[in-house]
Amino acid sequence: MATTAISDIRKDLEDIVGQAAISDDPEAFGSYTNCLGPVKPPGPERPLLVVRPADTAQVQSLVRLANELGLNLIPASSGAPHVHGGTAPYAEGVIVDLSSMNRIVRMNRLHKVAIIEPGVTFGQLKEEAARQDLRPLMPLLPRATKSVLASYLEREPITFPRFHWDMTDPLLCTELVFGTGDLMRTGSAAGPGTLEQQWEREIQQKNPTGGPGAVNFVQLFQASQGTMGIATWASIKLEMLPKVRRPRFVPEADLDRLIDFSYRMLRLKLGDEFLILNRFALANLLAEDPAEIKALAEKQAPYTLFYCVAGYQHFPEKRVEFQEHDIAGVAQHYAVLPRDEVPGASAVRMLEILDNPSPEPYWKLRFKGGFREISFITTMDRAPSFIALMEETASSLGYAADEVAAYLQPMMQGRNCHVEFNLFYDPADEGEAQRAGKVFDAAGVALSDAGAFFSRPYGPLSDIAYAGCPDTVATLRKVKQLFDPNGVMNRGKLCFEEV
Amino acid sequence: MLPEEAYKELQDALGPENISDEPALLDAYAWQPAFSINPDVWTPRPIAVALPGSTEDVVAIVRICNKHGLKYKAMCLGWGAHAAPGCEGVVQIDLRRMDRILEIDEKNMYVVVEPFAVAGQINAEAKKLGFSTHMISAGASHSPLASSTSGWGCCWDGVSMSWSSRNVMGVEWVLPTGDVLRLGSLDSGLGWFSGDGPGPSLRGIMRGRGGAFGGLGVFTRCALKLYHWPGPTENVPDGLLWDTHKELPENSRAYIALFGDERALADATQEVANEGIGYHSFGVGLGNFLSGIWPHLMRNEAFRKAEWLRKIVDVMQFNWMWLLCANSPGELEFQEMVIRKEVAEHGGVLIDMEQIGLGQPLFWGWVLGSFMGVATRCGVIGTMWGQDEVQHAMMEERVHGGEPIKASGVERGFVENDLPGSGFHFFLEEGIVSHYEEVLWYDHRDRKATQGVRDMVAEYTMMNIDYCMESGFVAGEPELRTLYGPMEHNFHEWQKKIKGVLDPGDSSDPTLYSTEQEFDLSSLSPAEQARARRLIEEKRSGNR
Repeated sequence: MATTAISDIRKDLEDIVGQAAISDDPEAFGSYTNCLGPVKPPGPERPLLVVRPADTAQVQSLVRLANELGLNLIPASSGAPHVHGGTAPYAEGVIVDLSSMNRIVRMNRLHKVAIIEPGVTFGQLKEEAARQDLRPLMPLLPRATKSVLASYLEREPITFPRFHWDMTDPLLCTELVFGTGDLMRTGSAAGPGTLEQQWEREIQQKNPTGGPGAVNFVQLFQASQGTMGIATWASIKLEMLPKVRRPRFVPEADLDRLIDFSYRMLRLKLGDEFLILNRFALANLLAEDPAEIKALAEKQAPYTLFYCVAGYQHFPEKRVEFQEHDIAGVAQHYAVLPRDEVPGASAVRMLEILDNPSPEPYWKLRFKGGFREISFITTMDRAPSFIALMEETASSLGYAADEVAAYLQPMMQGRNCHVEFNLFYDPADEGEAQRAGKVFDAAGVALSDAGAFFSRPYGPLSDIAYAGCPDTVATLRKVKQLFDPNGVMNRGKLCFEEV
Repeated sequence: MLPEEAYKELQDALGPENISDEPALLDAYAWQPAFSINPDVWTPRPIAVALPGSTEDVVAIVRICNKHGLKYKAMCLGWGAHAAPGCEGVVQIDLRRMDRILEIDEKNMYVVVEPFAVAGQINAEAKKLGFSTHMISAGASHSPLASSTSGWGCCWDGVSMSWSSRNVMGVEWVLPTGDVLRLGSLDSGLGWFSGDGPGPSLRGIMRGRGGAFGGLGVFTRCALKLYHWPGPTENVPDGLLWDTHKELPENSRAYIALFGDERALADATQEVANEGIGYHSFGVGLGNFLSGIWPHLMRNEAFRKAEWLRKIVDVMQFNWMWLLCANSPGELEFQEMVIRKEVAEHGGVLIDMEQIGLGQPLFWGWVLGSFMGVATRCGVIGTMWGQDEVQHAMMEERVHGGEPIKASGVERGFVENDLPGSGFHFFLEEGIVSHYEEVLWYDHRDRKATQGVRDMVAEYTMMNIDYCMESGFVAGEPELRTLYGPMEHNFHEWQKKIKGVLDPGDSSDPTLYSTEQEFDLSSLSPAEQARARRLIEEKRSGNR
């Protein structure tokens, strides 16, 4: 690429997407490179250009051009602010901004499915789904600009473990453009036949088991941070919009007790929304200004489980009634007490918060304007030891342990658990920012040493994650070589520095 | 013929009692007739059979085969032709010595097993702790590891217990080169709780809708999800099959609903599934079911021609069964209310199977996976099926596509008359999609029957393509892969590429993963052939 002048590249790109869909505005660059999370040293490269394709054909042409010119493409679907550094170029390249591909192509109520393009946000999807008595399966307060497809592709946990059967959920079938420029439709969307022909046969592109054939291409794309190619649409699972809902808090000082209760609830598939927060994380969700957050945190129990039972289309009251009855028995057994409110909020209010994307500013920015997120997978029973380690690490570096926000999200119906810590700091205060950075770095190592599994590692955590699994790295590199032999897709991310 | 040096090396690695090239023994391994679309009676005879007892033994076998340029093929329970070598010169790795249940993690709801741990055995141990494992339609005598890592994998319990492919967590995998790869958290030394990551999930190359059927090495251990079982921890009924006697667990029921047409069935059952109802949720052909139990009676000409029997089958054609295992009386009441409402609103009739004395055998037969043990009583089993999709798509394909082909096969004398009207049909993951399958019983020693089944598969394949569905055997059969590949974004070429990088020596029997073979349309009439070619071209051009 070094031998090709920018003006020539721009001309080639214009031929594909048109002049109006290309930008070299430095301010626009900042929204991709100035991520809220850490990136690997020495920091991101400045993008050459930003292009905004309008459809799959343009995406395919862009990838083919990148192969011809040796151009690095960095896909981006969500709007700013970007959190994890996926859109920050680690090598000179062109941002492929998919946010203008934002159609909800299709939705079906009976079969609870939608087909969406990468630019569709949770707010947009929620509104459209509600018209058909459906709802999206949301992660915890996504940013208003967050792409649904990007979230699911990154295996971000949803707050509904009961509907999370496997790690691909709620993603079903996809259309992918590999790093080679080849197109692949996956699952039952693969064909035979066009989508229109399939719809005539009542096929809804719902099979989540991968394929075509003996490969699950979706699994190879998930958590790849755009290093394998670009997804141009996906079918996703939706769920029925409940007619009756009964949310509850379970505040508790003893996290082990709360976790034992959770294991039983999830085993019995009780509760739709289901998550555990420590007092500081809960306060950050409920309150809006920093002083209020601090005060509210002090009033909470150390840990709070939030769950909601629901009734759908048939006998909704009856469904809620039996679940509440069954939960009461479980709660009694584990000596916990579900409640309608905690200090500062009713359970109904909490549900309203969880039902929507985060209001602006993004909830993790409320307390101090900046944050460092560190997340990993473990099993629920091991989560308390990681929380203790995180607080100890923070404390040892001068970060107040009671300002570590902890969020536990059971996944795969309780078989494992996403653990997330957020460290808040004032970006204008250099000392605070440095301290949060030091805690982040130290915690990454300490948690990894203690058995945290960084299953979707971002920035510097990728080095830590891949250091422990050389066989996986060797195989991933072979796979990357197949799907992106010229290394045009988001160079330098994950373990692909040397490819 | 296994080279003498290779034999000696295998003998040194495994012990003399665990390697054999005795012709009589090898012939036994070449009799694998089930699920074959190949008219040949025998599968290729292996050149030796090796019985590893550990992952280290498997590594040794694979390395020895690579060193001597030999191919190998692993098998677990050997449920069909897909377990056998697909070509000449293959060492069959029989994993029967690796039969342990290694760990049951009650809290995190998974079990870690070796290849020859049998579904019935795992299920019995799991039920002692209040869990069930997903059991595929092969029943209690299949290998869940094989189904999860390498085969297909769905069944009547899918509504509450998912598919084999989605139930697998951490995996230990001896790659075709002999290197050991552990998937997910296992490779970082952190246990079995995740099979994905860091970053992209290598489960994606392990398998897709179907597995590699021995084409990508050998899987030696894996973790599988367990699901809650609200019934008793002791589950041995008195008697067998229809003679089974054991009370249903508390809060359990066995219902069958009969509907007037396919649309009513599809609408009603989907609504019920959307409420997350059913421990098992399925439809089954009455004759198909009876033929496994009374094969001689079903072959009796007078019985088959009985008009009254045909009428019963017709009435039962659009049936659906729910086995309910609720966690509380309230949950059971809710489930029954929904089922009653939907059946009534769609003009159906609901029968409580306990009220007619059939609840116990039906319930335990399915929950314990024992009915399929009699599957081969009326002949070798073969099947034809499309991909899993939403209930309404499957119902269209079943009624207007699959059933007429099956009936025609019976008419032509290729397969046993099991009073076709429906095969088996079930939901997965609370109704996300359903699965439909036509079951064929036939005499594999009869060339007319095996060729006839092959002809039916050709007809069924063309019907699948017309209905925009991937054939069930696409994962596996070379000629279906070759046919479908260009209609589905050349996925077969990607499989060849994956094979190339993971198995540079092409040592892991490639037949069912990466070889190609032209699809033979010659059994179709000239007019049907012309139509098939038009159809194939249309679907291929739509994919470009």
